[in-house]
Amino acid sequence: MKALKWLDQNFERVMLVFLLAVMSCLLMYQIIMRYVFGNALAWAEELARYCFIVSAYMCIGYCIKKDLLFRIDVLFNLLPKVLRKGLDILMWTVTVAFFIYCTYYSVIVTQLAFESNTFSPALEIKTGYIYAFATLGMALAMYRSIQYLIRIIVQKPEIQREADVEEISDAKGA
Amino acid sequence: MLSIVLILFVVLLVIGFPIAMAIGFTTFLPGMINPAFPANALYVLRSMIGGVDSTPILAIPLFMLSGIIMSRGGISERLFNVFAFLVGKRTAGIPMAVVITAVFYGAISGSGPATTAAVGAMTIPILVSLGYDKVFSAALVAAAGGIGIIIPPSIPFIMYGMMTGTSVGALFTAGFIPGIMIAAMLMTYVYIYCKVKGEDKEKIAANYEKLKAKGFLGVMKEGFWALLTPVIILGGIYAGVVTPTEAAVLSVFYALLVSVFAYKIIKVREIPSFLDGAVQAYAPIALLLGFAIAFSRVLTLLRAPQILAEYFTTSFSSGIMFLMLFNVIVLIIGMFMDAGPAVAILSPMLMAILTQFGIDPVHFGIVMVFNLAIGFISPPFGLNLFVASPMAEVSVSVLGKKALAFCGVYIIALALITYIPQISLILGTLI
Amino acid sequence: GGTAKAPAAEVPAENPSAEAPESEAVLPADGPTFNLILAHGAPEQSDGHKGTLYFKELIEARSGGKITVESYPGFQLGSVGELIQNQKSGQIAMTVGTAGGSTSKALAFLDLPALYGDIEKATAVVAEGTKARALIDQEYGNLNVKVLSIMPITYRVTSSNKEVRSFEDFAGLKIRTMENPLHMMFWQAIDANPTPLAFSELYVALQQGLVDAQENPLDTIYNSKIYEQQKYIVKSNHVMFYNAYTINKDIWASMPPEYQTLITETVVDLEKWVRETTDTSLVAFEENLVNEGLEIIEFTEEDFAKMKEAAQPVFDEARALCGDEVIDEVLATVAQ
Ligand code: NA
Ligand code: NA
Repeated sequence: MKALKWLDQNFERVMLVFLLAVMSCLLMYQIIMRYVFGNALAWAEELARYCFIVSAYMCIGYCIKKDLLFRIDVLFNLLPKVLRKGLDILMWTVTVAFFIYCTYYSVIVTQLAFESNTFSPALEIKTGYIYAFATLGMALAMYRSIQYLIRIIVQKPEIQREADVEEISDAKGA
Repeated sequence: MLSIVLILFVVLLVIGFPIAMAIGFTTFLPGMINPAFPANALYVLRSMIGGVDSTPILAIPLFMLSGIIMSRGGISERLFNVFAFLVGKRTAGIPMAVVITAVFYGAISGSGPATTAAVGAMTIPILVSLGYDKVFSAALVAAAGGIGIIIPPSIPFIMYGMMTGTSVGALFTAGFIPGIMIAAMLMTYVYIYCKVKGEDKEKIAANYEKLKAKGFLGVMKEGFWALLTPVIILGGIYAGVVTPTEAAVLSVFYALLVSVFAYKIIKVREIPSFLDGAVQAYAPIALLLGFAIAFSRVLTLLRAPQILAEYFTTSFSSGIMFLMLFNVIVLIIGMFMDAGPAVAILSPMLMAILTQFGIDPVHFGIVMVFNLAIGFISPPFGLNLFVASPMAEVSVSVLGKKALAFCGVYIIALALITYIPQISLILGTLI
Repeated sequence: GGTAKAPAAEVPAENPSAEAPESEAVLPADGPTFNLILAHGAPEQSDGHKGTLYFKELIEARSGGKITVESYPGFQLGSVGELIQNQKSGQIAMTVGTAGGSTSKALAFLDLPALYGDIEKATAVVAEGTKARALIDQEYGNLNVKVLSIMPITYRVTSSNKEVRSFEDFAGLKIRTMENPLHMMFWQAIDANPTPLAFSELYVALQQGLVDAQENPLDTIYNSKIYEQQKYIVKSNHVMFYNAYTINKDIWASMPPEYQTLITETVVDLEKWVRETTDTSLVAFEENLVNEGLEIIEFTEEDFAKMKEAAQPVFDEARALCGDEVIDEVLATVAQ
């Protein structure tokens, strides 16, 4: 149970840290192999690129979880607190629907990619696997946006979105 | 359809939707409304995957990582001590050193956000510790990061050259003077800013006295491995050992080796925390990139570039009028999205107009890339702002406001470059 | 530079419609309309893109506007991999691009090195009725597309900063290649040092000396300005560049027979146009490259023979991928 809770807190983060480490090592290995051993590899860079693709999809859930989404909130902040909460709930309901839609179609895209039986040039990885990871990313994004929606529904308007509070005090201080 | 898409996008942004989601919704919308539109959900999802499948993109997370290692491993501090020693107690000495560092890094990296990441992680902690406002520090770094795509090598120049058949070599040559010019103008601005707002003279003096106690040789000796960093990275590229993308990973491992073995400041078990920091810094950008590229494809299929090009050809009689309006439009586009893909699609279509107005394509390339650089720092959507904001722990909107003044400096420079083609072209005629 | 340069030869760029063959609309006035999205990677100013515009003009005129084409150059609508996926499920109707092992491993025989003497032989290899063509149709069929045209355009050649006068000079040459395993295997077999790099990084890699050479068709070398960083064009003619026009099968099947006939006939005219344009352009590109200060180096028959001999491992690999039948047929056609 505890492990599951930890995983819920950190899954994307751990994946991203791991993938960044792999990307770094792959590219360094490529440089060494080419420059020191005169043996240029095709697969190292390809794998690094695929690590980044998977990372980009893990980033969606990660950013929602960590509240790292950029938004223009000049107008938003002018609204009364209750209205803000209402708008926020509306926005996140739409977002949840959006990610359900994306996940559904990602599954289809992945199925089609597996059916096409195409392979990456260097490693000869089935294209479908890359799409499968993207689908996992979308599913996680869906899950995180549901969590976020529940959080803002449960929260009282005053303590909503700590980032805003910090931002306002920032602006006053500057 | 195009107008519906654009209106929805602006409305979503204004009411405070997360930018990535706003781009996402509008990207999927035409396919939902019109089943015959080619860019349906399947197409958009594939675009999002294909859009982030690129080698130069890898430089962004890697430069973020090396920046964090350099900052926590004491490299940036020692490098800055050298600069700080050299500039002494002069007004705006340290902020100016930041701009010079960006020029230096710009000659290594071909990407604006990567330059911001590398320079920012190195300099923002020092600027803040010397008493400079953290919002100002982050805005300065974001603005200086724009130099990264103007000083060669530059990924946008290469893209423009390929798309339009313009000589990449000529573009690189033409980028030098504008790059140095904007650096000089930024330094002038920070000088005036520091003169007017004042600096924490005590902290700067205290820092200087501390350094002076070590003596020039002491500072140089401490800074030796740090000073070697740009030499290794630049040397790696110019000696043909690594590509500009691989230079990012070279800087990661070099910084790690120096911090662990030479400076003995960090321990191997701390490495995961650096990775964690880098992830936090690049995640919001990676998220936006995929959505932004899919969006630009949808705009292409909605024939937005053609509509724009048609408008230009029918509405203008003089080249300078065309360039001015072009600047205004790209500046507006650049506020809301990464104008890179849009410009890549737009540029070949505008070639015919250039010949008609007698505009040199090299000159136009510089104007276009300058616009791109401004897009990086203009709020609300600017990649450099997104990179710099977590480094200084300030919110993007607060940072954006501060960056407006720097945008102003860039716009003055852009006006000069637009009106005076010689700034871009003279170096090419001399060589 | 102070030296006077001869004016650059004009690359033929006349309006395609100027030479469009006469034809009248043959389609019924009440027939359905089709708007075909055509996506490809050739740059806007290249012959590859002009060919698609020629096809567009012809088909739109001949169909009386019943069939329209929107051509998007320069991978604006996605990379090769994305185009394959999108064409398969019908978001993109038509694509134009390199046919070979990168499309499907079984088509690797189109990447065979040091094979053809002339374009005619390369054309005969993929002619209708051959086993090779049947395999091509089958492999593309698996991707849910019909091949409208497949034709050899021109050889891939080498551009280099190191002098490559003969076959032996390839030894140790640091050359950028695509991530195509068969291509890399070829360069390894002839003792060069193949380095796969993204095309977007190639220009700087040549400038800084990360690689000394690269290989592409002449028009790519010319149009993407790679020649600015090179001293020699070595006409190594090592691999043929086959270009394929394809259309999504479902869209094709939904067209009335007279529409299909019209497209098939138009593609024949297109092929003629491509052949003529390519032949004129190649001469102009060479002339321009000489004017830009590059030296053009021709290979001798002896060099080609050595290249072919050294490339044997690639032929063995191709047999494993494509089957003996097809490879034997290809070799027999070329030997004729
Ligand atoms: Na640069
Ligand atoms: Na912007």
